[in-house]
Amino acid sequence: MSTATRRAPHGPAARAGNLAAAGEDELVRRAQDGDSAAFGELAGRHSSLLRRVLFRIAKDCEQAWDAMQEALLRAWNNIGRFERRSKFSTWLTRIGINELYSELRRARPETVELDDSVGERVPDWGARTDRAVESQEFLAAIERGLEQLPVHYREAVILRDVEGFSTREAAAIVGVGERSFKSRLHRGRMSLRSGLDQFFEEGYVR
Amino acid sequence: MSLNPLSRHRENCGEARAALSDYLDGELGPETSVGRHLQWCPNCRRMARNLSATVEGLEALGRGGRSRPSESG
Repeated sequence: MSTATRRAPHGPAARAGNLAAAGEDELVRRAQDGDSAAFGELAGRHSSLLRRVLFRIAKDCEQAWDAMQEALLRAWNNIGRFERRSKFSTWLTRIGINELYSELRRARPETVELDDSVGERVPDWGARTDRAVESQEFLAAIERGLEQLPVHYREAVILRDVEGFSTREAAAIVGVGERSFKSRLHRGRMSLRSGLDQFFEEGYVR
Repeated sequence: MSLNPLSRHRENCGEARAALSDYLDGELGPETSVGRHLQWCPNCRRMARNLSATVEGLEALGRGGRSRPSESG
């Protein structure tokens, strides 16, 4: 199929007919045969996930919107190259993240030191962390911490822990090996944990 | 490995903490060196608890706890 510039299909018409009942494999096959409505149905099913991931990783909302639109267009133009070795959602999310960080990825990755505080007393967050973790205050503190993380760690934590991708899927989306991904994930989690010490020191859990 | 007990202890703490995510994700069990270390090292046990709470908070975020305020704009 042609990969020349085509407009990504969208709108109610794309979801009409029996497409809603079609399985993902069938939709992908039809989209690869040039069925824009089938691609529209696929995009509709996965755009919510793509939007969440991009908005959580990006600090600039306009950048996230641009990346999302570019990703859908790029996916439509390249659906013929999708080899089904991963789920469609994994493939689409990878395209979105590549769009989002096409410039940042060229830069030297930032690193965070593994703050494991060996030799220092680790703060006790209190006996009621199970109640705290669901609180809006705690979640807001986590979101603030996420925004401070370098992008390579932020995307690892968001994909694995927030969005629930498996390690294998998340590593494929980011485009690194599982070992490298797990290292980023651990450093990202540890850095967030360290930042949350202050939240509990300020006496949230009494 | 250091012969000094304190240095050796810190080496063990460092190794255990580097593997905490694998332990929390279930890839390393209680019979491993990390699991055994956590049984008797209260400092590392606190760190494991805190890290676990951090991951639980991230998962809660994914269940719809919050979204960025400007997302709908």
